[in-house]
Amino acid sequence: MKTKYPLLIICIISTVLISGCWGKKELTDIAFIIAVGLDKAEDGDYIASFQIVNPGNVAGSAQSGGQGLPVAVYKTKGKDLVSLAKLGSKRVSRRLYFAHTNLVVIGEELAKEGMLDLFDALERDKEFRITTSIVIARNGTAEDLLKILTPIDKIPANKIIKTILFTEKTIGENIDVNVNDVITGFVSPGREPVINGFSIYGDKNIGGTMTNLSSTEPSAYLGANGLGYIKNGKLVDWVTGDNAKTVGFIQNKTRSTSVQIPWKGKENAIVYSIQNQHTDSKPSLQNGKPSITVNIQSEGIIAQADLPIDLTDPLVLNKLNQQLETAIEEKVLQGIKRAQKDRYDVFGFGEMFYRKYPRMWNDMKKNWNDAGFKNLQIKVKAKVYIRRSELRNKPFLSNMDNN
Amino acid sequence: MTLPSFWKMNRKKRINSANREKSGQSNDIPQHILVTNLESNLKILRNITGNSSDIIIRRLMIEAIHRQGAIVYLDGLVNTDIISESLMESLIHEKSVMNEYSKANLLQIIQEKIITVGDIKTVRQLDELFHHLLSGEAIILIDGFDTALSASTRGGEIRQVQEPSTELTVRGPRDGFTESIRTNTALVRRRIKNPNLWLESMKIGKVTKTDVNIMYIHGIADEAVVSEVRNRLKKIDIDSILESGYIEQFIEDKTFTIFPTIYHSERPDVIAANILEGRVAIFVDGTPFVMVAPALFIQFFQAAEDYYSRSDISTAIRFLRVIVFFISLIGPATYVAVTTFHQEMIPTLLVITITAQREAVPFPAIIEAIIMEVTFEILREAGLRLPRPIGQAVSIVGALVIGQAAVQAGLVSPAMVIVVSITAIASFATPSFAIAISARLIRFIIMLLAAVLGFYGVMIGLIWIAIHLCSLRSFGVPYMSPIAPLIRKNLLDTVIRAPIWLMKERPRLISQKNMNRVGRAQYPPEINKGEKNED
Repeated sequence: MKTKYPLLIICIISTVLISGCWGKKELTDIAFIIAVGLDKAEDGDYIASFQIVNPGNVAGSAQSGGQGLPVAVYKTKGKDLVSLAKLGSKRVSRRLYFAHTNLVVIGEELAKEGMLDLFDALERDKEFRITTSIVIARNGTAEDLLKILTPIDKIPANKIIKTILFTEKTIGENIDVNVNDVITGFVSPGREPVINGFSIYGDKNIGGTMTNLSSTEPSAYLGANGLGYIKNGKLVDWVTGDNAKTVGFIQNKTRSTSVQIPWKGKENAIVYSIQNQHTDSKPSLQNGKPSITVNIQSEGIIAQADLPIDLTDPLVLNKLNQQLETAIEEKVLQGIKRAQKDRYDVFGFGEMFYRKYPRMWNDMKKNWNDAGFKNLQIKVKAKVYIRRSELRNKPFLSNMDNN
Repeated sequence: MTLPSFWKMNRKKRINSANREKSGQSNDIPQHILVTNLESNLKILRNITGNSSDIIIRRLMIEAIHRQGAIVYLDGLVNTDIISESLMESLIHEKSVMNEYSKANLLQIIQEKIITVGDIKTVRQLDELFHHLLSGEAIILIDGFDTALSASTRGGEIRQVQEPSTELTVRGPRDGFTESIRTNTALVRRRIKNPNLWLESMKIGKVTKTDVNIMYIHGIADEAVVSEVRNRLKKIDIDSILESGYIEQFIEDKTFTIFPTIYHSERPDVIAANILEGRVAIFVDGTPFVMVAPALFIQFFQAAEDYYSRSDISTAIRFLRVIVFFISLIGPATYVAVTTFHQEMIPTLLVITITAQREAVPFPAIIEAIIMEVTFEILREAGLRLPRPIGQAVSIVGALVIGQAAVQAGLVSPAMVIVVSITAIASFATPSFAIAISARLIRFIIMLLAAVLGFYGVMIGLIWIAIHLCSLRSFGVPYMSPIAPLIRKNLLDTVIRAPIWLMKERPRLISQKNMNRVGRAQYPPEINKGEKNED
């Protein structure tokens, strides 16, 4: 028996060593693609732009100076996504590595023509993450958007992702959308996906050079610009401002935002800053007709009061509460009406009906967007809790009046 | 499949040579007995010891019995004060018994009325005589007798009891074992004042005749383990024992394992605690390291101080030690696996930073890791063995080489330096050097596995270690108990260290009987439970 042990050990060692290093890739042989841009060429092919990180110029200050550009953008042209990625290796000296791709940018042209063909490759690839954020280059091409250098976040893709993240949190006009959200939006009945818009402000030709970083006011910068409504895989409309906030409210994504109301005839006199928000939408049938009740609960503070007002008086606060509630209700209703007019259920109301009335949904789903959603009865009920008025009870203006 | 025949032939040869050695290495001391003539006795002694100059023969006239006598002792091993005060003084000057002696009871009279030394024996055999002489006793030879007296005068220079240098504590006793076996057993006896603390002694080593003692508490220690220890010790046939490590290699259950299956400590309190749990301590003369068997894997993560500080703190620190052990085991391997196989696991910015650092490094990550680890091992070894003043210089040079120059020269990346230093510090933070050094070795194997198979390889390595650990036994006790096999009650003293009053029983597999060690209802009184605070 003992003689078999050496043989066994040799077998084990050789299986390990012969199979050796399968899937091994050294860090320095990898091109980290941080963002992928997709555009439609005039002849119908796709154009992919790969924003590749130049590690030496991004990382730490001590190493190798870091004087060059943090990213490089390479462009390939092909009929499908896979060949685009393969063609990329003809231009890049390293293995294209998609596991750290954090952003997909789709050109507006391509988005309008239809994006359904793009997502299978993104979802199927084992390196590519479906949690990758996705934006549409509003008023431009993905290629241009990826070429712009950004001053604070060295990697432009990171700037875009963070911008969306923080606008979602602080204003609620954008929603952090990733590839998976879009795909589930495509497949789920009664809900249409939304995708954030991003635009270049300024001169895009200078934006891609070092000059853009050498002035306090960049010649070109990137900014979040509205929410794109998607229907059947096509970009159909852009919404901004309060209409965009409505989506954040109803999908419970908004953390904080602000609401302005007039007081005693003065426009925008009181600013209510929401700090916590919860929305509960309840589908119901009234006389056989589908209707939705949207309950918005919000906690917040009085962030600004530009006229004499006694914020310690419960009666005043009560009145404020009522006015704020009406203001929120109006704004949200307006946002929903806007979507109803254009017939895209980006809020997922249909999905709510499907969950509550699965049998009836079979009849409703055929033309949900065109009939069911359009004629949906909407009730919005807001509840406002003013928790604090921050550091002051009475604005200084009330003291001035007394003098 | 059959063995090539030369293996067998070889084995035969080996047996033959072993036999030859046995017959050749016969006893050095002839089996003579003493004669009645003092002069010839002394001559025999001188002949056998080759006239060694440290054997002192002091002739004297024993006034009380009017006979010539001699005191023989080994200079340096005896306490000369005792010899001059208790032996010489009384033998030369004592006259009161002059009329009582006859030849028959003379030795008895000397023993009973003249010599004022604690332990005294009569010796007739020469080999017995040498045994006493070489252990530091004084031999009294009297003309006309073929029997000598051996008086216990052991002494000489031994190291004082000092704070142990390997196991330091913030809170806890400061005494440590010395090289003298008697001091060591006394240090334990001082802690366990119980007649059931039994001590068995034996001599191992044909040439060195080293004193080996086993100590256990009768009634708590498992008889089977005690007799197993005794038998294994008795089987040892070797010329010399210079440190307890010699014995450890003879009596451990499995030789080809990286993990230590016998615990050793320099601290009397640790040994006392182990004996109280039912273990058997093995003292070896000439070393401050006392061994304890059976040992458990988890024991190597426990320090004496754990039991002296409060339980929540000890538990937290023990968790830290386990984490630290894993870091020292798979630290560099994780770095290698992650940077060559699983780049997707690192946060984007970090992977870019590491890549930037590695841009200038010409080697693959595994080579880089091996360079750094080997460099570090060299430095550690050099710093350990060199005389202390030079050792400091080495560590300065090492810090510069590892920390700065290697990075600037582009040989390694700064991230690798961090990984190596964390690993090094982690391996120092493991309380037992014996287990830290095992982790040091395994680390390299796991590093290679990581380089070949990534995390899959690391997992293979860890699973292999787990299987191996579960297969080990220490004197019949499963090495991984009480985790595998699971013994719930004993889990209170593993990674967790429950309050002492909660650990009611001794480790079950070690002490089979007399399990209770804490009385009933020993939890501390709580103020809310009826008892009023009088103040």
